[in-house]
Amino acid sequence: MKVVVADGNEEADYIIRMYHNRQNNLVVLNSSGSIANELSRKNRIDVIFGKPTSEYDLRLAGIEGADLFLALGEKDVDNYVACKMAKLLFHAKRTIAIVKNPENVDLFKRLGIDSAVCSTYLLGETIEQEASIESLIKTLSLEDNKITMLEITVEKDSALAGMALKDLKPDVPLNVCCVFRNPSVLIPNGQTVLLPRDKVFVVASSEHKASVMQFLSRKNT
Amino acid sequence: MNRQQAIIIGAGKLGCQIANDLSKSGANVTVLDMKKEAFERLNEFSGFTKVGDGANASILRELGLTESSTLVLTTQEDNVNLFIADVAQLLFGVQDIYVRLADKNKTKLITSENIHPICPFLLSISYFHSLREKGYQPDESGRGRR
Repeated sequence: MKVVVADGNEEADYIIRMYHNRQNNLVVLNSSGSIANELSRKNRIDVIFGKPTSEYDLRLAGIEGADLFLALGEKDVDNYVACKMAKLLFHAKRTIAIVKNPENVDLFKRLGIDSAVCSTYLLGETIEQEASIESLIKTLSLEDNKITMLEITVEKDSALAGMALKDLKPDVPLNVCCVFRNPSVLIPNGQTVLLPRDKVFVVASSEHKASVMQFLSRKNT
Repeated sequence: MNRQQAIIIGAGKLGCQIANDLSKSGANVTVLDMKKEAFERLNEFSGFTKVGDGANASILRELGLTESSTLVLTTQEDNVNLFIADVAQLLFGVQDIYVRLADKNKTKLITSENIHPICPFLLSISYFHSLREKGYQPDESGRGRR
């Protein structure tokens, strides 16, 4: 895969380490001379000193037909123009830009950039996700936090609704040990079908707690 | 009666001159720049000024751009000008956009016929050639021939 890393400092370093191997053809370009030197020295790789929004420099770097073009610069607009140039003039197949302004995540996509990544935006999403999962799932730790018991209410749009337990196929080991369907308490078997508003009690190993929470909170899409 | 609305982003020498001219010709002009001091070049001007970063879509929203606005982009940075042009067309459907570009190669990134590049480099070249051409055409006064 041909991957172009345009600008960026720590971000560029991280991506270079990720893609610097025999399977990939890595092209690194940086508009700061000192960062270019440092990236080159650390990763033993050629780094071109040039501007990612200069057609001349991009041509010199040889980015034509890149499978992936990453714009990791400081300024959102520069990353936008770099991606647009890579796409329009050098036929990059996929372009990804880092942005500082969360509003630009959606805007860049609408303007034709394949993907825009914003740390603030991701932070917001993560907080929201964790908050919503926490509000839905109650957990209880047993045996010195080796065993976790979870309680979740099945929502209408939950992927669990309408499923028989034998068809659940979780990606981590877990056991559904009890279902409270007001007013009855059911000790379920494989045939038991989960319904909206059921309270489901699950036992799992604590090391799998996060994956189990994720599995139980999946929505139907 | 509706006056033509014109919005200028980037109050440098060119931006301010265009703002002055449009204001004098009766348009309803708003000038945006990141620095308040930039507006000192505005004279013979009876429009509005606003301080803010034009590369920020929420600031653009406050300018009241519409399909019939004229938008002139004359900030110091080509990339900012290009970005605002694309955003203005996408979000507000502006159909009359002028973009100053120092780098002539960036004119290739303009993909819409509503966006008109103004490139000092290309203008100078074409002016040079037109002067040369004139130079080879003898006129009555003999001027233009060397």
